[in-house]
Amino acid sequence: MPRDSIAHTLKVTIILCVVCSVAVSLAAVGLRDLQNANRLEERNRNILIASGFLVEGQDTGSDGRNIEELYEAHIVPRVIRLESGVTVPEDRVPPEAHSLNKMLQSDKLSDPLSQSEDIAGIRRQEKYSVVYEVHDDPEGPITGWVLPVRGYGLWSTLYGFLALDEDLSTIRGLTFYQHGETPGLGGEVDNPRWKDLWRDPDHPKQAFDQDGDIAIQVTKGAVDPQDPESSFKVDGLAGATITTRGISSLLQYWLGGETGEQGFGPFLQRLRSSTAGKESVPRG
Amino acid sequence: MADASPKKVLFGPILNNNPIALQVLGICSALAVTTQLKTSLVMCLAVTFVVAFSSAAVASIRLQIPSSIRIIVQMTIIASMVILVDQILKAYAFGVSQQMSVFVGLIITNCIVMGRAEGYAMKNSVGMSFLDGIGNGIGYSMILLIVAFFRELLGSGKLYGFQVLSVTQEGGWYEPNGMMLLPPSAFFIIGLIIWGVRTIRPDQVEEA
Repeated sequence: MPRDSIAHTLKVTIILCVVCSVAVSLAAVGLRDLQNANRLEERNRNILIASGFLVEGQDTGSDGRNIEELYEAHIVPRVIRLESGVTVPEDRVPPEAHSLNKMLQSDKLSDPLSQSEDIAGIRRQEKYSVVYEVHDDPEGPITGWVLPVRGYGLWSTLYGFLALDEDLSTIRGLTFYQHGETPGLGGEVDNPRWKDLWRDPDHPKQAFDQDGDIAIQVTKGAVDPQDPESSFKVDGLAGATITTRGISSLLQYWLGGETGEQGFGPFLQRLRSSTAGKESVPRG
Repeated sequence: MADASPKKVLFGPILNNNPIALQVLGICSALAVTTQLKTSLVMCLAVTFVVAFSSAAVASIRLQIPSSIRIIVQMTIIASMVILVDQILKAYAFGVSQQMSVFVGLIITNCIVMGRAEGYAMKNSVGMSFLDGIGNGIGYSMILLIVAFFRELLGSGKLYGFQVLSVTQEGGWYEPNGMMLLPPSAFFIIGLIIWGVRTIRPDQVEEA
């Protein structure tokens, strides 16, 4: 059969496609468990860093427990409906609720945002969200919350976790685990020293002011510690004005926005009204 | 070319026939991942792996490939290799693969890979094509690592993630050059390298 005949061309094409697709599928299927485990560990690591159980760059807590053990002990996930802030019982959670991408692609599981609502630049808000209870004492009551946040920076959507204390205003920490900002400029949102500004034990940052309005913002340049409002302000990143502005906006959005109805607004409102956020929820 | 010695095929692309400096191929990824030595090193290993094995694979079936679809055949082989590399990185080097994000996938569009498949592997034996791939991978890697060395050192005062110059943000003396972290700085460094190489070897200068 000559090399350039149609029959030979078809034969080569088919054999090549089969061989390549088998190789790619084998790799994808064979490595899937390992990849999912990596992704899960990365997420758990960031939740633990945001809530203060794990120091950046380390794989074990101060007592030598690893990520899995720390997560098991201190963190309890909970699925909520964002619109109402109500916790969804485990048997009623749709399977897609654990995949943000799937929800955002579905008209049933996410809502489009109008231009004026969409201050974080995320286009759609999902209907379900997973929030995480923090238990400082593994057997004790809820002492804080970790909320997944996201918003647009300069080049990319930043994905992160915001951890709040049980008063729902004191910030325990903020981390970003996925973004495509310029390394060294906006990319410094990863910088442990910048993240430490969000959890200064002497001057904890507050998300809300006395009137219950969202007050936290990232400012341009350094914050004067004498400023009476310094607990609402965090130093911006040098050379990253737009990323910095994006972070202010995304916090504003996920903490409730102008109306208090956006992001986790309804959820936080429910927690505040239910006996100072200490509703008893069975663990497990 | 067919009678070239293996040594020449392997080491030629490093200085004499460097894919970036002489052929000016594969610059896109050189701009993207070179802000840090670590990501650059992984990129180099990934590209070298893909070039070597895709060249070997193309060479092994070169007598069977109908010329009408040869580019598509090469592309399919290269794309499969790249997906394999991407999957392996996601499984065994998750942190790094997160940092490199889309650029692993973009190896498919790296002109070096396609260029070697079409320009060399279609006409030469499996073994020589494999060596040619390794050689071009090393040539590419060398430039990438030089660029990354300067960008990471001058841009953030670090080498391979370790602080070597104490930067002013931490109370030191070195004011990091933010431009080094932006893509254009890679152009400047590559430009300087090409200038340097062509000054030493004037025969590489193209006629105007």
